[in-house]
Parts: sequence; structure tokens; C-alpha cells
Amino acid sequence: MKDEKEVIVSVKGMNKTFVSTRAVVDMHLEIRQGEVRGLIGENGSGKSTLSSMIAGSLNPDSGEMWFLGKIYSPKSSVEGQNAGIAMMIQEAGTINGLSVAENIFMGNHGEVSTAGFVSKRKMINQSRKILELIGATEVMPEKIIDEYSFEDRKLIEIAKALHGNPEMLILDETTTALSQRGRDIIYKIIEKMKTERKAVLFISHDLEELRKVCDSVTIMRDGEYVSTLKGKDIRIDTMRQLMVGRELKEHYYRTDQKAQYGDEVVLSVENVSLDSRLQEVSLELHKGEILGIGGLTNCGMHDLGKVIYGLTKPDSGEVRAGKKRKLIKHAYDATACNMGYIPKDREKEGLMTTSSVSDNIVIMSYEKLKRKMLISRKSERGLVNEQVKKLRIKLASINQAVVYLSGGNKQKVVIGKWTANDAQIILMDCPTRGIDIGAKSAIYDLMEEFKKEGRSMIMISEELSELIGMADRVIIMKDGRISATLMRDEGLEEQKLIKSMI
Amino acid sequence: MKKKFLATLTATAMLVSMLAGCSSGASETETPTQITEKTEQQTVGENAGAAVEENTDIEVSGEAKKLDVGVVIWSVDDGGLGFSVKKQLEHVGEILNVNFIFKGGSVDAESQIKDVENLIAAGVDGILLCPMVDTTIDKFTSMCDAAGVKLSLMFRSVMDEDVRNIVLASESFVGDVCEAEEDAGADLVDALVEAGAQNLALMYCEPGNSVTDRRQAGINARIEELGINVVSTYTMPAGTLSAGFTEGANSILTTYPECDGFLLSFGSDGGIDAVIQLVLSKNLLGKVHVASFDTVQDTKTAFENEILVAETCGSQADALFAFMMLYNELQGTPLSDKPIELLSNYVYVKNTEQAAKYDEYWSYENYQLYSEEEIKNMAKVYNSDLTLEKFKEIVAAYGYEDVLNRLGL
Amino acid sequence: MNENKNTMEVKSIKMKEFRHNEMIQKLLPFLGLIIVVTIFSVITKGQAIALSNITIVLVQSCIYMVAAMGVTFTISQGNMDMSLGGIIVASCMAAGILGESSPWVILPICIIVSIICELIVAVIHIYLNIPTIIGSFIVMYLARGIASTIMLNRSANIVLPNALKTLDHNYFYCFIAMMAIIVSYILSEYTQLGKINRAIGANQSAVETSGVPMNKYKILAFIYSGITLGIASFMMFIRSVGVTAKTGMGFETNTILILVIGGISLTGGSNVRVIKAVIGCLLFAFLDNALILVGVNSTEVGLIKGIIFLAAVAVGFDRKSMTHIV
Repeated sequence: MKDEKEVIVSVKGMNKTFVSTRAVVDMHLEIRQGEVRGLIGENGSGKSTLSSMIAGSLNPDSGEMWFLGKIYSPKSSVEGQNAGIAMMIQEAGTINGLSVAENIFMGNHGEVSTAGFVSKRKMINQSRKILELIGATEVMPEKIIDEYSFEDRKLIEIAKALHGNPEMLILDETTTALSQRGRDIIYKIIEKMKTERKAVLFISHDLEELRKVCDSVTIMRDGEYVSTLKGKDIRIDTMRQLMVGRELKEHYYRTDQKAQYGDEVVLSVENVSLDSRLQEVSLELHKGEILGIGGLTNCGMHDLGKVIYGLTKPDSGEVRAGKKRKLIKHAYDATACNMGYIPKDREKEGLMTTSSVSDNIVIMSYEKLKRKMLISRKSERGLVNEQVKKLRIKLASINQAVVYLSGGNKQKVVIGKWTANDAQIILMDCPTRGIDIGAKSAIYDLMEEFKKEGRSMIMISEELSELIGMADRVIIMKDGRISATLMRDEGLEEQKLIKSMI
Repeated sequence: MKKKFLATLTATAMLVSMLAGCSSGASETETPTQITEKTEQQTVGENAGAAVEENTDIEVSGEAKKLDVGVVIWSVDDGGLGFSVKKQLEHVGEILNVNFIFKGGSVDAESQIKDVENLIAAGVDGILLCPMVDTTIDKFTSMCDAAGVKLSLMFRSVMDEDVRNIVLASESFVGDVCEAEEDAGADLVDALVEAGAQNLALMYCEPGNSVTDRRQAGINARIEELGINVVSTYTMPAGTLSAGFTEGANSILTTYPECDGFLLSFGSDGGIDAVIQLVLSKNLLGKVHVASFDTVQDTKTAFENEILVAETCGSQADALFAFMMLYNELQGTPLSDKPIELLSNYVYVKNTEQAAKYDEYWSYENYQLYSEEEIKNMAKVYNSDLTLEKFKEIVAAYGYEDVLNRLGL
Repeated sequence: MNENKNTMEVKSIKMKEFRHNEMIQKLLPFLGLIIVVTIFSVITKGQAIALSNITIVLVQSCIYMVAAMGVTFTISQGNMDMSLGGIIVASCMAAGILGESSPWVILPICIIVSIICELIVAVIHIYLNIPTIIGSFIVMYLARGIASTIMLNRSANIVLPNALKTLDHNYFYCFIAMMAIIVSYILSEYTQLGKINRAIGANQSAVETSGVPMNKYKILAFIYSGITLGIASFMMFIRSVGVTAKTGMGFETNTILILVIGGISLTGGSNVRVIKAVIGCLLFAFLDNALILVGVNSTEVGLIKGIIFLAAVAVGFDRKSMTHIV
């Protein structure tokens, strides 16, 4: 017989439309006690919208919700929280300038007040207890929150969400930006919620993670319910297929297992050091090679990318590119050597979001298009359309502002900038971060095409699976040094990689 | 979003037309009543000399035409001289049926040129203007010549030789009225000497400002004439704030303890007050006196403690005289065939009593330095006996006593 | 399939919305000009659009027009240049004094002094990392202070040499303004100078990360602004028949007003266009003129200008907020 667990939350017939976009259509969901439910879907599938409606921060156009057996219609996230549903989002939810304890008790000062006055001591003591409970013991409650890293601040946010003992916790892409340590803490919390017969709704793009952590996974597509996979049925390829709605090609990553690249060294990094972040790093990139660089978030690989591209000056060491071994001192040196850089923070550093797709793609190529000082609109258009076709970018018009494109297409625009300029060496930092399956697949295809065309790539990534799937060689960094170099031929296994990372 | 834009602009348009209605004064529809008003005024007032034509012609009725006059001045809302000029002229405008368009805010040549261009385009009959730059005046007159508009200057005269020659020869130039700065300077020196000062400190403005230059020239001439000792001449930039005055006066008193009189060639915006405060704080009552151009803000402190012996004010009459010259010209009854250049007097305020009277009668609620009758007396259309000489007499008579006598106080 | 239909529906609606918005964005500045001109023509019973009046307005707009052409480039970067009036008075003064011996040096000196001053602003911004709005204020006060001091210590006024007085003619001003507009338009739309400066305003980090020699283009923009400002100073000198300590007072504040009512965002970026600055100048000159024609008094003029400024900002702001990330 089925284990008759109580239904904690149930929603039916949920609808939400933004202007002309139907974000959620007739959606239904039921979560029981002690259940960890994953919620997945491509960008625009409606998962965030749905979870926001459940948490109370968004009001549905129509539909019914029940929580703990009673009709539930929160007018705000505060009401939702008071009812017992806490939600954590991807972006930063803490307030600068205040202490950790103040952040935790923001809005709930009553709990730590005596006769109307907030007792600082009580606030700090309680905070310490909560932080210990979730395992974030090194966080000091009295310190100003600005001193803590993004990750620690996320943990503090969790402490804030949990201290009210919610019946249900919603995590919306919370783990995306966290390191393994942060993720472990979250997994422990999820475990605890489970044992306490509470519910967790877990939204993430990381299918591996979902498979490991969730009891069941619901898939959404275009705002509608597709299916719910339980237990053993939760498989990565099944999930992918249901998300995209069509047969994916046979392969996602590269199918070959050979490390293939030319002998010619196109880029060399020699003994680069940068204060405490990089220590004597040296590497070589060969023609047609996909060189993966992996490690924990603070291992230094992101800084290495900036140094290689000339955006950050190293304290010592050199970066040289091309046949002529030109010394790279500034970003425009790098560009002059046909190098391209796709930054980790594509919105902030890679794109001019309010400018058109055309303006973004062409920005590097003016020299090429110049005819006697003038650049004709026609030649601009020609070049841009070429890239749009090559990279299969989905858009309404090349004059559309980049901000309207989906994550994957935005990334393609950044890539398009470099293909327009004929970049032969492409540095990618987290190229598929926050992008859905379909777009990811497209980018991997592109990488293979580039490889065939003889372009060389460095892929800095925190996602082990894609390093394993795509790289000819993988360099693992730890504490600013290279701790291991692994070849594709020898078989890249996750265990091996992880061992070198910690 | 489009709607928002259109709505805001429609609102603006409505606001503009409403304000235009208020400020333009008489519109076409009001004219018929004004004609009857005018006829009444003419019979009721003195010397209804000119024949009154009982016609209902809107354009020109009888002798006194309705006029549009543009006024270009440095400011109309400065709470001081500019503002009082506006209030006064508006009052006169009601009496004489003149519609004024005030344009304030221009402090450089190019902006004033724009103002004159725009006023001419608006169809004014004449322009009353205070030129900020001496050397642009001939440009104004040539613009007015071309448009058939008459021009009268207030608060300034034409200093530059070459420009003067051109201006005096032009059709449009009616004349100018300017303060008798040199004479006033001499008067202030006298006031200090009368109070017993023998060692003067002069606080001057940097050279280049035609107004203060002339004041200073007058002061210097008088001092030389009387052979008075000057302990120090302290020069300050034109825009000096009160702190600068304090600093200057302080260093003078420290270096020259024998100093017993301060003479300032300028000092609004608290400059004079600063010096007076300093004298108070140093406990020099009775020992040090101050005389100054422009006005103090705190008349009580200045006069009750008998520190300030004289200040110059009341120059808004300058604008009135300049306007009356223009008015006569525009009505086709000019006071003279040649340009008229006049000097106008300051009113001196020398003690608390006078200060009180000044505040009361020269204040902006009461701009009746001249009664309705007296104003009409300055216009040939109402007073056919008026001659240039008589007008000059009126101008020369203006002063503290004159105003109080005429107002019967 | 059901899903596909929904997606396609959504996509086509998105496209229609997008085209609609693009059109509005392009037309908005023109609409503003047309509406204001129409309103005032009606109120003044046609006086405002009489040929003689339009001529006056056009000529009055010329000096600001030339200066605004250059400022368009620096504002594209998101850099607000508040030094304009100070530079004008300094250039005119230098040119006037040195031009007493030979009138032919006046124009070159105006341009050279303006370029030098703008370069100082550029250097303060680029190498001292002080925001341009502050750096340019500093240059403005310094320039005006030095110029005023020098002028006040001279016995004679600085007057325009007779040789140049013949240039004080409508055709002269309009011709120069027209040339400035054409050249600036070409530079802005068809060369890297315009495009990259707009990109800098849109996202400086992205431009840097794209390996563009950003400082080179920033400096070029300031130099161009110096050139146009120098020419504008020359025109100012001629029209004012001289220069005094108060020449060009308030020029920079008026220029900001001009840019805003033309629909230009003060943070720069892709939407900064030469044509908007042109419209802004025309609107500004027209307003000044029309308000006098209507007979509005000075005090109320300030109020009305304020309202229009507000309207322009409100509309402009709307567009920016639309690009918030979905």
C-alpha cells in the first residue's frame, strides 16, 4: 500500500499571463510530507513564475492553492512566509551595511525584543544558534554582512528563511552560484526537512544534482505541466528530452574519446603570478585544442582567464599568443592576436544589454568593415547576418535590444562578436552557465565546429560534466596552482577530477 | 507611453495659454471697455487737453495709444531692485495703458541680443533695457533701427566713445538715464566726514564694472578735494560674498587701528551687514562709521547703533524716468529731437527714521513714488505744457525729501 | 502541437510589440517638436511660424547647435560635460586678446584653447578616475575664473575686430551650424567614433572586455567636442561683438536642457543620436522665442521650461526601464 503521507501543498489550474506572454498555463502540482520535489524546465518554461506564486510574491490570474489542508492565497511573500512557505532565490537577498544578525532577523525584530526594544545580545545569540544548526559555523553574527562572500551570504539567507521553521522550502536556482561546500550545506538542510516530514521544492538546471537529491521531478514546458518522474525513473536523458520536447540528437557532448589537436602552440602562459590568487601558473594551448580548466570557485581559474586576455595585469610572468609570440599586456593586444573572450558575467561584462544585437556583434569588427574611414550600414548588416546564421541565433530582428533574447541566445551574441572578428583563440569562462539544455547543446555543437575549423579554445568551467564531455585536456587548479593535468584519452573521470580539486 | 507624452504636453499648453491670458493684460475683447475707460480718465484727470475722439476704433483711440513695451533687465525676481522696477512699471502700465513684457535673467551679451530679437519679433513698440555690456549697445540700436522700434536705456549710459557716436546717431535711440554715481560717491564721503571720520578705508570693486568704476572715481575725486587720509584701499572681485567683506574689513582694522570710517562702493547680499557686524563685534561703536552704496539687509542693527551713516537706494526711479522718455517718444510727442541723457539721484537713508520711511514708501506694495496725476504730468499726451526742461526738473528734484513732500508726509 | 502553437503565438506577439516600440522610439523626438510648434502657432495666431520669426529662431539656435554636436559624442559615453560656458569665455578671451594684432588668429585660438580645456577634462576623468561631471565643473570654474581675472585687470574691453564684424550675418551662423550637423552626423553614424562612444555609454565593461582601446575613443570624443566648442566660441564672440566675464554664463545648463528635451539619455548609450540634439536645440530656441511672443513673464517661463523638462525626462525614462531584464 502506498504510504499515506499528508499532502502539504496542492495547486490546481494555475494561470499567469504577463502582457502577451502566457507564463503559466493550467498548471497543477502536489507535494507530500517529507518529499523533495524537483522542478525543471527550459528558460521560459514557467517554473520560477509558478514557484513565485506558491511563495506569495506573485499573484496568480486564476487557480486554487491549498496549504496544509486549508485554502491558501497569500497576497505577498511575507504572508506566504508567515503561513510557513519560505523561498530562496538566485540573486542576492541580503542587505548591505547591516550585520549578519540584523539581516537574519530583518522584519522579525519582535522575536528578539523585550518591551519593544531590540535586544542585540538576544539577536546575536539566536543567530549563532541558527547558523550552527545549518552548519555555517564560521559566520559571525555580529560582523557586517558586507565582509562575507556571496556564498556565505547565501547561507545567511538560508538561515533567515529557516529560522521561522517553515513547512515548505522553495529553492529557486539557489545552488547555481554556490561552491561544493555551499551545496553540501543545502543538501544537509534538505535532508533535515525530509526527516522532519516537511517539503522542499527544488529548482535547478543541474540535472545531476536533481537526480541525486530529489525523490521526484516535475517537468514543465512552455508554462504547462509535462510529467513527473519518480525514483528510478529520474534519468538525465529522460529529463532532457521531456524538457525540450523533442528527440535530442544522439549526442550532447563530444562522442569521440581521443585528445586531438595540432602541435602548434597558439598561446603560452609562462609563470604567471597574481598576488594570492595565482602562483606560477604555466600552460600551453595548441591549435584546434579544447583545453578545459576546472576547479573550485576560488581556485584562481577565473582570474587566470582575465590575465590571459590582458584584462588583469599579473605581478609576474608572461602571456604570449600567436606565431609571432606577441606579449599580451592589454585586452586590445589580445584582440589584435585574434583572441576572443567570453566573460563569466555575460550581462555585466560581455554585452551592452540596451544596445541592439547588431551593435554588440559588430563592436570588434569596425576595422574590418572600414572603407576610407566610413562604415556602411549594409556591410554591418551583412556581417551580423552572417554570424546570426552561423550561430543560429533566434531573434526578431538584428536591431532588437539584446536584453530581449533568452540566455542562450545572449551567449551566442557574445560568441558572435568573436566569430565576426575571426577569432582563432577563444577563451570561455563558464560558457553555459544558467542556460537551458537546448541552448547548451547548441553551444557544444558550435565548439565542435570551431574545433574542426582549427580554432583553439580554453574552457573554464565549474561544471565537471561539460569539462569531461568536451575537453581534449583538462587542467585542474587548486589554490592558485595547477594541481593536475588529465588527458581525454586516458579517460576523464569525475572522481579523478574531484580529487585534484580539493 | 505615447499617451503620457501627449497628455503632459496638452497640460503644458493649457498652462501656457492660461498664463498668457493672465500676463498679457488687455486682449482684443477687453479693448472696447478700455476705450471708455480712457475717455473717462482723460476727462477726469488734469489737462484733458487733447481732443477726445468718441470713436470706437480699437486700434488708436484719441491721443494715448495702447502700447506694448519690452523690458530687458538682469532679473525681475531678485527680491531687490529688479523686482521693484517690475512692480513699479506694472503700476505705471495700468495708469498709462501700457502692456509690458518683462524679460529677466540675461547677464551676457548674446542672451540680451536674443531678448531684443525676440521682443522685436513679438511686435513691441519700444524697448526699455539695462545693457549688461557697454559695447553691444550699438548692435541693439541697429536692430531697433531696422525694426522701427524705439530704445531707451536705464541704469546705464553709453561709455565707449566709438559706440557712443554710433548710438547717438541712430534713429531708435531715445536716451538713457543713469545714476549720478560720481556725485553720490562724493556725498557719501561727506557723510562720513560729517560723522567725524578722518582716516578712511575704502572697500572697492575690481575695475572693469562701469558702475563701480564711476562710484569710485567720484569718491576718489572728493577725497582728494578734501584732502582726507586714506589708510587702505581694499579691492574685491564683483561677486564677493559677505565672508569676503568680513575678511577684508578685519584685516584693515587689525593693520590700521586708527581707521575710523569704511566707505564701500558696493555691498548688497550682506556685504555691508558683514562690515557692520564686525564693527559691533569689535566693540567699536561710535569710533568707526560706515557709508555705502547699495542697501543693508538689517537696517535696525545698522542704524540703531549709529554705525551706518548713509546708504544709497531708491534707484528704481531711474527706470521710471527712462520709461517716460520712451513713452513720450512712442506716443509721437517726443520730449526732444535729440537723444536725452540724464542723471538720476539716489535716495540717501541716513538714520532709523529715514530707514523706516524708506521701507514703507519705497517698498513694493506701495510703488507710488509718483501719483497717477504726476505720472500723467510726465506725458505730453496728457500734459501738453510738458517740455524737456520741466521733465529734467522733475528728475533732478527726485530724492528723499521730494518723495515725502509730494506724498504729503 | 499545442506547445508549438503557444510558442509561435507568443513569438509573433513579441515581434509586433517590438516593431511598434522601435517606431515610437524613432518618431518621439520629432513628435515633440511638431506638437510644441503647433501649440504655439495656434496660441500666437500664426505669429510664431511667420517666416521672419522662424529665421530669428534658427539663427538663435546656431551657437548651441554647433556646441551640442560635439557634446553628443561625450554624452554618448555617459559623460556629462559641465565645462562648456567656462571654456567658451576662456577661448573668446584668449582669442580676443591675441587677436588684437591679427584677426585671423581668432578662430584657430578659439579652437585650440577649447581643445586644450576639453583634454584637461578628459585627462581628469580617465587618469584620475574622477567622474566627468565633477571634473568638468572644476575646469569650468577655473577657466571662467582665470578669464574673468585677466579681463578685469585690463583697462579696455575686449572687442571684436572690425574685420570680423562682416561675419555677423544670418547666413554665416546657419551655414556653420549646417556644416557641423552634417559632419557630426556622418561621424556619429558611420564611423567608429560615434559607435564606440555609444557602446562605452551602454556598457563600459563590455567594451573593455571586447578589447577595444577605449581610452583612445574617449579622448577623440573630447577632442571633437573641443573643436565644435571652439567654433561655437568663435560664433559667440562675433554675435556678442566682444567678450566679457559673463559671456557664456549658464551655457552648460542650457545644453543639458537641450539634450534632455531632444530625448537624449544623460547616461549615454545606443540611443544618443545627433538628430535628437538638433531637435533639442530647435525646441529650446523656439520655446525661448515663443514664450516672449505669447507674453509670458520671466518667472513663469522658468516654470514652463521646468514642466517641459520633466515631461521629456518622464518619457525618456520610460524607455530605459522597459529594458529591464525579464
